[in-house]
Amino acid sequence: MKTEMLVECLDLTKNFSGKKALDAVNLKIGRGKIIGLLGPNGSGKTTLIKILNGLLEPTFGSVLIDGEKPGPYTKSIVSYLPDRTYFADWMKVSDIFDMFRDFYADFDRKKAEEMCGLLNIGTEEKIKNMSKGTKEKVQLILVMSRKAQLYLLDEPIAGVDPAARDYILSTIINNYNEEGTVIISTHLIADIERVLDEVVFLRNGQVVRHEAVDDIKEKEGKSIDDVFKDTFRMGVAGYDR
Amino acid sequence: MTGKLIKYEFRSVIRQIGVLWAATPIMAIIFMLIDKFYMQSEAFETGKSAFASTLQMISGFVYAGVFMALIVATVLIILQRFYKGLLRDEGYLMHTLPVKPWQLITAKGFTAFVVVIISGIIAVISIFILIGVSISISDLGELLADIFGMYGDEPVYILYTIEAILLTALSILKTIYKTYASMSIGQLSDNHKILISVAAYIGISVAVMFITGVFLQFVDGEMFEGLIDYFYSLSRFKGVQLVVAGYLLYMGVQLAAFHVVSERLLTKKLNLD
Repeated sequence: MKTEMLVECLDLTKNFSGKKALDAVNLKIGRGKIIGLLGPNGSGKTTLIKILNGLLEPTFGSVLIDGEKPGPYTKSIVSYLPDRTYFADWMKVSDIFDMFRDFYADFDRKKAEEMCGLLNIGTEEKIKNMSKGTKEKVQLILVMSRKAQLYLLDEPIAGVDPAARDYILSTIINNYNEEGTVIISTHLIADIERVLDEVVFLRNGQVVRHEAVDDIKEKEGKSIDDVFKDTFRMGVAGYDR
Repeated sequence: MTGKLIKYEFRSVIRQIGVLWAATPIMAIIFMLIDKFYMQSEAFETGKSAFASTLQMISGFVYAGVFMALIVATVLIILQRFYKGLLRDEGYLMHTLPVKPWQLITAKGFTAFVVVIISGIIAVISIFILIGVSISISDLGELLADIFGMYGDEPVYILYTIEAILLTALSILKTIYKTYASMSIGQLSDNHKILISVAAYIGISVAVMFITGVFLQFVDGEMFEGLIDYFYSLSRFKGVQLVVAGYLLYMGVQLAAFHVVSERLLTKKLNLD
């Protein structure tokens, strides 16, 4: 049975060599939302995403996804786009499609092939011969061809040109499972704020704000980008939750 | 799920080493044929054909090169499939598959083991081809009949054969898992993963020797005098069996320990960049 909250973090803390990358994060995220995980570089966004994925173990505290600790079950319902490409040298596009079909019951191969066709990416092409941008597109296709409950997208629009940003965002919006939740980490807020339902501001490993985008705009009469700039320029007094 | 992981491991290694598996016996055959042709030719008798001797030399060098490449590639694939596959960028894919770390390690270990066995068999076959050992189907039938006849006459040889296979398999697996444990330790470092892996391998080897030495001292001590006496009182067969069983246990314990070290580190302390 599905839990009410999709993601629950309780006092989640991660230390690296004594330095706190995440500091007692308490966070509850519901279903059917697109959430911006926003913060400057080094604020703990990637660390939080890696813990949700099971790539890192928390030093203290706990995290539950659909009521379970990160493990094979949660990995089967989480679709993850890392901030780098992860293909093996030997793979063709069809190999990675085979692999996703074998490991993820929610992978829609037909949809993935259609998306490849729209971008003129041949499924028999060797991935190692592709440009970095094409590899990233293949990875995005893989991630968005799953009917996952939680999409974790780590900096999907960093380092790409504005046209590619539009493509990436429209791919995400048009293809995610609407019963699921999308968490997008970025510091390029202006480009994505139009698609967000909620935002989580992270600073020095702490959640300094978690609120619905409409509520913020109504209260402050500003764009999320401006609120973000104000928050991280002027401090966070008054926003702590 | 482990079976599926193994399937993709095999796809990967076959694309990397498959050419060498095919090339090694082919080059052995070519070298053998050229060598035979040259040795039986008139030119050999008179020593006049520079072309034939050059061809023989080149094919010999190519065979030797392919043979060496097979050995090097086998070792590199064992190291590279674990290091690149689980500890570098590819790890972002593998560690987010809905499987447990022990399954990832087992798939790598099993595939590496099979790669070693296949490379070993191919190397031996190529040497047989080279030295001109040709076994016809009927010869092979005779050989197998002899072997089974021997097993029928002396069933104890079945036991010895099984023990030899087990010892060889455990020895190969233990060595593979030792490198895995070393790399799992090495990945903890942010900047010197390979260097620390090499240091860990040396450290583990020294630690195993030290622990073995301490254990043997302990066994040799007064406490176990009765055990040693018992050992000497046994028949030769029983004595050998005791030693083999002890050695199997010794290797099995190491294998299990290396697996546990790798699994715990990849579960609790995975350090992908």
